[in-house]
Amino acid sequence: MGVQPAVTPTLPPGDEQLLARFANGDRTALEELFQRYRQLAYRVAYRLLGHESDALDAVQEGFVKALTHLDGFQGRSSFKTWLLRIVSNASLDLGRQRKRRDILQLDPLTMREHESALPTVSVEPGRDLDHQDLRQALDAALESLPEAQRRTFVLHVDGELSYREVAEILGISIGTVMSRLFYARQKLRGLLSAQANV
Amino acid sequence: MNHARHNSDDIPIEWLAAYVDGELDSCAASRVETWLARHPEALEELRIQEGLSGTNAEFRNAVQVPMPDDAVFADVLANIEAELAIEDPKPTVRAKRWPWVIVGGTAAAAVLLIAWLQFTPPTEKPNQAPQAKLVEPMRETEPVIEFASADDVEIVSMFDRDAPMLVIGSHPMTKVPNWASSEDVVLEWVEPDHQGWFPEMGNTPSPTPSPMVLMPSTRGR
Repeated sequence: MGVQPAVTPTLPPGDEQLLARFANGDRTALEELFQRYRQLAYRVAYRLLGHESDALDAVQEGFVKALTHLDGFQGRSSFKTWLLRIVSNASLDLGRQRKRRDILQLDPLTMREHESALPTVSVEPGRDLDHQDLRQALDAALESLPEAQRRTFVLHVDGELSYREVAEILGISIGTVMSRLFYARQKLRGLLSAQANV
Repeated sequence: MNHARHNSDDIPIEWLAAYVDGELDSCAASRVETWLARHPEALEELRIQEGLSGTNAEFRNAVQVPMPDDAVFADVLANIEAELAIEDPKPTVRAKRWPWVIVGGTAAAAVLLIAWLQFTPPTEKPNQAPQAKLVEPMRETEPVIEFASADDVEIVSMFDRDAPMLVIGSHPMTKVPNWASSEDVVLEWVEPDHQGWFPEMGNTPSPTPSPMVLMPSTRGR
């Protein structure tokens, strides 16, 4: 009776392997890394910027910087946290540039209106929000949060990072992550409750 | 919205966030459950935290970010590859250019040396010591004093007893502050206050540099 050869399941290569291959000039390793993290990076960038084109710019800048400064993370964190740290930095920088650009382009009268306008969503109060409305409401509410709370919330919820990983990225304690998330949700709830029940 | 903490023997209210996210160890999670059983009024807060938690699948699905097409991501990847290719070192090209750079550099240096020897005017005081630079470069060990604006600081929680000490309002700085060192300031006299008392002043100078900030103030005198 013949013995069937054991079939070893092929595991996908780890990030370290892909990075080593990339360092040796293997461009397919870059494709695999990009395929693996593009959605995560895009979600974080989009939620911080609220704009597809800017979010794609942040993703591009994030990958380029993460791969050209690999010595900055090796041995201290995972590629995922390193990448999301850079993507979120790039997103906030782009957001600030865009805000400055927008303000410069506004005339004084329009600027006063702009400053007094809180982020709102054109939804009748009391009506249940469908998914798109809720997403837009969340994006608008997030924009009114302090940057530190917004970034913490986005890295945890959209970046799917643990408290420890968020703390590592932001250089803060886990207690601070906990506190920022708690008060971010309180504020978001206050802003969203005007639109509908979440 | 009540930001005050509960009683001091209670758990920190922020633990509710970590509890709904499954980030507490079993011991802390058990403390939260015991506390919630004694404080049913906090269940509303728990519901808020659960409603906007990443562990809430309904919430996650509802606010899912719309993804661009694969073609859009392919363009981004092509841009990344192009940018990384630009930054790639070209060792073979550089190796071929090196001899020419060395030869050219040496020739240029020789021409400049001859020109300097021929056209430099004689100095009147050859033994004079060089003038000290007026501005000393900042030492690397020099401390950097950082300013935080109102946008950088957010108070998320404080004890009731500390609340009366909180000063609310715009900060008095209207322009970039100017720094003055002890050499810039001369103390000529000190006037007594309206009751005739002089302020207590130490006679010994501070052992560490104590810069003084001079800034325009919005407050009237």
